[in-house]
Amino acid sequence: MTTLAPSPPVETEPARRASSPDAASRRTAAKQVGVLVAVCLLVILAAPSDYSVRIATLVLVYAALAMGLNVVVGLAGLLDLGFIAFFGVGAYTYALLASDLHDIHLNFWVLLPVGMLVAAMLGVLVGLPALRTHGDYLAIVTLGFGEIVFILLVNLDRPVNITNGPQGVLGIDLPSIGGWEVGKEGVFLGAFGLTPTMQFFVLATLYVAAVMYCALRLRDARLGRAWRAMRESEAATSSCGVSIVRAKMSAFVFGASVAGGAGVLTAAWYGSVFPDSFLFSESIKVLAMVVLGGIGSVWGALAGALMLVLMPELLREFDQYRLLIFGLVLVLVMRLRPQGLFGSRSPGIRAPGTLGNRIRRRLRRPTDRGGRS
Amino acid sequence: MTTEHLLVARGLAKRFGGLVAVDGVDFAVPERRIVGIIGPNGAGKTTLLNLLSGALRADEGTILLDGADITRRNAAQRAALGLRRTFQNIRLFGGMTVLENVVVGMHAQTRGWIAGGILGGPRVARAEQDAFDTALAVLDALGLGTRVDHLAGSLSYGEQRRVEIARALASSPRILLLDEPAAGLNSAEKRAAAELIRTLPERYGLSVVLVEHDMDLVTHTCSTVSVIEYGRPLCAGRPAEVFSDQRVIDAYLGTAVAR
Ligand SMILES: Nc1ncnc2c1ncn2[C@@H]1O[C@H](COP(=O)(O)OP(=O)(O)OP(=O)(O)O)[C@@H](O)[C@H]1O
Ligand SMILES: [Mg+2]
Repeated sequence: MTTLAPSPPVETEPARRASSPDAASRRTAAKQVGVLVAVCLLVILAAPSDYSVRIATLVLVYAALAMGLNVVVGLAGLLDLGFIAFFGVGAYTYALLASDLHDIHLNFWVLLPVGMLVAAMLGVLVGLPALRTHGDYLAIVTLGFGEIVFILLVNLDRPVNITNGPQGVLGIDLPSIGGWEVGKEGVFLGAFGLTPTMQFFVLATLYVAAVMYCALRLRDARLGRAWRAMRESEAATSSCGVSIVRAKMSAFVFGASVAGGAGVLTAAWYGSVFPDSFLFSESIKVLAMVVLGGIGSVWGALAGALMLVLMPELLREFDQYRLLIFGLVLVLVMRLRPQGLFGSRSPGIRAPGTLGNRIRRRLRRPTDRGGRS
Repeated sequence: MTTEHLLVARGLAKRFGGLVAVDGVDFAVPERRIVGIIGPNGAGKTTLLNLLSGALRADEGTILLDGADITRRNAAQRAALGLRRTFQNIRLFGGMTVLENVVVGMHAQTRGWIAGGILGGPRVARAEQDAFDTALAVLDALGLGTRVDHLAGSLSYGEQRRVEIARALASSPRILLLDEPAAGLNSAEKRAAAELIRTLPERYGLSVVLVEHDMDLVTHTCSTVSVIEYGRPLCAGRPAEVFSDQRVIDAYLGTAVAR
């Protein structure tokens, strides 16, 4: 090893950044979003049927959700088991404020940020008590929160009818842009020969593109660095001057608002919402997408969504064996690529690969209780 | 303990259940000096550093940084005030690059949160640029210039120790708490570490609190040394005096760990 004291003139200059880190991150994010949009364009051009466009839109909605949850779980390392509740809150925000139910008809572009804001505020409310404590407490609190939201959606039809209970809300307004309604034959993008389904696909593409850009930018920014650091050691991260509670709260709230926006979009697309769409199993489904795609990877979130939406569709013909095959494929993927489709294996822990070792390593999570160091 | 002291602790105490890990320690660090803390295993050295850094809350006592009471500040706030530390068991962000590790250490020097992170803007961009430049310079200075793009977890043990120091140094701290920075290093690495630590005050204008078992290293670097045993101060003085003090010899022999 070389001496380290007096700074020796380094001959081999380390890779100096050609451009500023911020500009580089902006370029990377823009490029990747460009790829996504290009792929979406291809999908719409090549889609054989309206049905396939609908499936593709569903993939995009789930991709937005998975990208949002990926920030919470993958980057910040917070286990959120009630994530779908924020989606539901966004969906109902639009459903209640843009339908005949209460005879309120606010504009989609107003309600999109409103839905995100409502979800974010709920995120703060849930996060404040939960994030101040350590570890798995958050998982339990979010699980409970998800159930509470579901129960409220079902039961808030009496004594005053707010959510219309288990019947859900029907006849939700189509989004309109400058008087043209998205998703109506012949108008707006219909002028380009786009069917109503395709128009929603375009809307979903725009939303996912925005979410992806934000997620990629944040990942490499100051906040994202703090998230990724925190996931590895809270003690070390706070010793760097990062407020752990603030960093966790930001991740949680960011994820919540992404889900809220996706909810608004979906309510407008479906034209109806039902409480049953926001069950615990949906939270797990989105979590599975994140894990399957590779925890922490933005493209992984998309891949996970693609897989978990497409596979059940493709397996339709196998009928009663559908779930069995589905489960087997999931197990196989996780067995062969435990880091997920797009995940990178954690460095430093170079694994002598016995299964026992791997399981043990997984169970042994670093405990950072500030005490002994 | 006058205002010339950068860091002053009075009557610090910490109990874990029935165990008194730190028991009424007074402690002062002058500007631009290296102060050693030694003591047998389990004496409470790390606990003392945890109290100073804010990783643990003291049960009793006060801590002043530059005359200001920071007893109620948490670890992040103290770090932002220029009180930085390393860990006895290295705690790097193994999945991040060496450069990123150091830039995380510059949290107080960088800008932007959610909106700033997404949108950027000149203020954010300039702070990022400056932070990355400073981080590169510090890594160069610590001989890690060729490692900046490696994942921290893939580095050798000795290199990881230096990355930890770089992570703390890059933020231009006023005071650096080092918890056994030479533990696990070979003798060449130890000499290099001693040389690095010895020159820190003049090169970076900071004070160092050095917890260390290695007597050579302590003698080489510290102007004064405090000895603690069972959480209590045993004696203090210049390294040569302290190491020849019979009480210190007994304390170390008593636990038979004069490493
Ligand atoms: N978080 C904790 N909970 C309970 N006991 C603790 C905790 N941290 C430290 N202790 C106990 O406090 C005492 C002092 O520990 P500390 O780690 O401060 O010693 P040390 O001087 O740093 O020892 P070493 O030289 O081995 O690093 C020990 O008896 C230890 O077991
Ligand atoms: Mg110790």
